[in-house]
Amino acid sequence: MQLLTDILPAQAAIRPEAEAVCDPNESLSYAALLERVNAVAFGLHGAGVEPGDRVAIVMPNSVDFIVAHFGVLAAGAVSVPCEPGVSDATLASIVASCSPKLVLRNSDDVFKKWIQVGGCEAPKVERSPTDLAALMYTTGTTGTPKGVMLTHANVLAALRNICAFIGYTEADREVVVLPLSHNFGLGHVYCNLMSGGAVYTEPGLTRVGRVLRKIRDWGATGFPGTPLGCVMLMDRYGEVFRERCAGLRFMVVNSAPLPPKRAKQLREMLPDLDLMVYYGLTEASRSSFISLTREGPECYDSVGPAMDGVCIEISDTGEVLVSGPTVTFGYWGEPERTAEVIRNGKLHTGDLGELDARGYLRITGRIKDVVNVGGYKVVPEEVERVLLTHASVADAGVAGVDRVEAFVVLADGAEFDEAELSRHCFAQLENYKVPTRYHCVEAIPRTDTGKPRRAALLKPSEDSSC
Amino acid sequence: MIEEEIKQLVIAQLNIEPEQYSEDLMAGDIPEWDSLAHVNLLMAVEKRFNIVFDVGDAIDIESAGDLIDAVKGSTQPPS
Repeated sequence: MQLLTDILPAQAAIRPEAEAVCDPNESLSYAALLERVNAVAFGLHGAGVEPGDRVAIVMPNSVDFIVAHFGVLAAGAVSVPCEPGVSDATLASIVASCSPKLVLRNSDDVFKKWIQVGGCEAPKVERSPTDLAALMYTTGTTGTPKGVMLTHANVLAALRNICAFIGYTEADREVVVLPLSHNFGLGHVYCNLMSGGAVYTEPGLTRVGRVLRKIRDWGATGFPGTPLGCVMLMDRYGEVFRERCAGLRFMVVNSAPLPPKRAKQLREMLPDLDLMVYYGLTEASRSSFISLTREGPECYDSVGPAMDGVCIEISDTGEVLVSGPTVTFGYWGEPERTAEVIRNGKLHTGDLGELDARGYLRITGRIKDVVNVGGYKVVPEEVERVLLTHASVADAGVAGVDRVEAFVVLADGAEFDEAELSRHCFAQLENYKVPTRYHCVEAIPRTDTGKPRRAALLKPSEDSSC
Repeated sequence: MIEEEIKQLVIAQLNIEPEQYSEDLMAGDIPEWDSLAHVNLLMAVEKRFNIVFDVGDAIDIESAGDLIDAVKGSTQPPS
């Protein structure tokens, strides 16, 4: 298997009638999925999409998303998955960056028409493993999205490692509610399809009862999640979570570190579960992997050893460096940014870490100030810029751990109105970027160069509030 | 009146406009009602009515109407 587009034809030939993908509204066998993917590829070709063209996909987690993604690949184009709730400004940045030939939405009449056409063959296109498969946009340190270029070979190298480590088989059935516009969620779709298993997907844990019911009734074997999601399930819905997830074979938890005490709690709730975590960035998917179940409590703060073919080193400054076949060759259209991050073939991750004598990696901190909200990265500067456009705000600083907190200095005569500031942010930012706490302070502590001292913001002295 | 109080709580917790509200409004229908907002909303309702939802009931609350029914079930004796 050399290309991501080899996955579906191979499985459709082996198990055409086996269930491949489903969502709350429909289920498709491998044969039906391939037919629909080919129909989309045919439609894209007819719409003038040529090999190498970019096609953005703005859809919620659904069978449609999976069909669109593989359809774009089958047309020889480059998939650009976007958050379904992407703001107009962010989407405009992405469009300006990669100039997609089309932006596909599952509400579009043309998409609905394409997927109803049967009997299509995918257009004949020549692609090689080193061709781009996807541009995965992530938020950079400036808040401007940057497109991580992933080739077929990059993705397949990571998938082979993940499939081997988790031990996927055709008997696996995985419930994926992680956003498919991110590598973590999309990777689990790929893995199941590569192994002949099945995937159920829906957008997030909002309808948590339905998700957990699906896990039990469908006989799911896997359920990837975030630490935030796991904490919510354990603390809020513990008894039902335990009962409905008792049949799971494995959970992979990532996007942020899983605190050891939470790993212990999860193991106690689901003792038969193989609990795994990994370390990986979009730029280098799944660099290390570990089964906390197999390794035991002494490894609960570890993210494991490097995967096959991947090299993890620690620089003189303590930064984690990654090299190998999974590492991107850069950011779309940004050679300078690429050169900053990838030097001598090594990805400079911005994370601080340590390797033990066995080569197991432990992440100790972050160089950057990005706030990680359940896997969603929030750049403080972007939120600060929005806050500063409000008339009542004279100065602003944003920081946080697992949640976004805003610190504002009021303009003369202005009143502190949290609800109004929240509305202002909701109007201009994606949901997850909106601060969940607002503090009125007398001043924003700054360095000599004027940058906010974010750590100090989170530890205000008692007399610093206004 | 429980219906009106739930309406106000949903509007306030989700930061939505009153016109967006209906008893048929479901979690996930609007971007503001995501999984974190859902948990916060349940907690706000519990606090306001001084009740604690049974986990087995809370997990299947998916709409504003479900919330109203759950509060009524928790605060009113069965007839």
